[in-house]
Amino acid sequence: MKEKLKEHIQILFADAERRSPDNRQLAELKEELLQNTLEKYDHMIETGRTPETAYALAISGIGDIEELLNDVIGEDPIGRATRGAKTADAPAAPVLRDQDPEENRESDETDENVDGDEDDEDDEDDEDDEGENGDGKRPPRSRWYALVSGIIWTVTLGSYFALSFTTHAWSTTWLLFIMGIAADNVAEGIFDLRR
Amino acid sequence: MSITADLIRGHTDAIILAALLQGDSYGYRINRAMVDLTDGRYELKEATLYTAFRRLEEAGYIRSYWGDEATGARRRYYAITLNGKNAYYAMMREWREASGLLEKLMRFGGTDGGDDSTEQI
Repeated sequence: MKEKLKEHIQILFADAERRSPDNRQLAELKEELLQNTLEKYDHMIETGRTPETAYALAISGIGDIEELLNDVIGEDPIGRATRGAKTADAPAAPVLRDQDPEENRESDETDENVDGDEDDEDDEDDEDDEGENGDGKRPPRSRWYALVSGIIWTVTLGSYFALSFTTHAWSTTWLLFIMGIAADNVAEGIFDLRR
Repeated sequence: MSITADLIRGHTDAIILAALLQGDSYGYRINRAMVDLTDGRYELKEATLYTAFRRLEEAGYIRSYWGDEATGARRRYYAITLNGKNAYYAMMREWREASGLLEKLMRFGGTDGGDDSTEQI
């Protein structure tokens, strides 16, 4: 059964090894994973499990390592390389540990690995946006403020001409621009506060 | 289950750093200790564990070295660094503050809603 475990891990790593031959980090990860999985198998046997159950528990405990492998061989298109500096996001869910390997396999199907990672990705995108604003690569004012400001002045100008031509009260309609300035300042203040 | 799993997931790094504060260790030993501490209810997937190891090592919070086992495959051990200890204490402070606030907020001045017998009296 131990040979079967080794074969399983060999298969898990086969694709990554083909894409990145002679990768030392990959070889070390494989050795580490194999050692820990074999140790888990031995421990399961020691605690009275059958070889089949011990094998199933050891395999189900590995989880989805595809993202980890992509990270190790540096072929992650999402740019996971920047992840190293961030320590707050834990990528995958701990799982309910069942004594029965059948149920354990069932819980794997609803593993939160994937959902959790997608959430993390969104968070990172948001952080990146903030970072770019802070670095001044984008105008300091937010895009939302620019949008609101544009709407305010379009409405102000439109109202000015519409009112002026319909009422001919040119001497007073210019006050609309004062109101426009006030509205724009209020909008700017609100967006500054939110930031 | 989901709240508990999410909470644990959100603190994988702190859990690993706490384990390493007790002394150098390796993947399966940490996972086994976690199973023992939670009375067999939780364990981390190996994928989660190694991803966290990589992240913590890149951040300089832990370092790794290979053991020199006489028999069988080598173990990769992890040790916490000074930066890692500081990070752990900061995480612990944040957790204490957050858990205290959550406790208050989730009671919102009332009593524990989980006890049905109290409600009936």
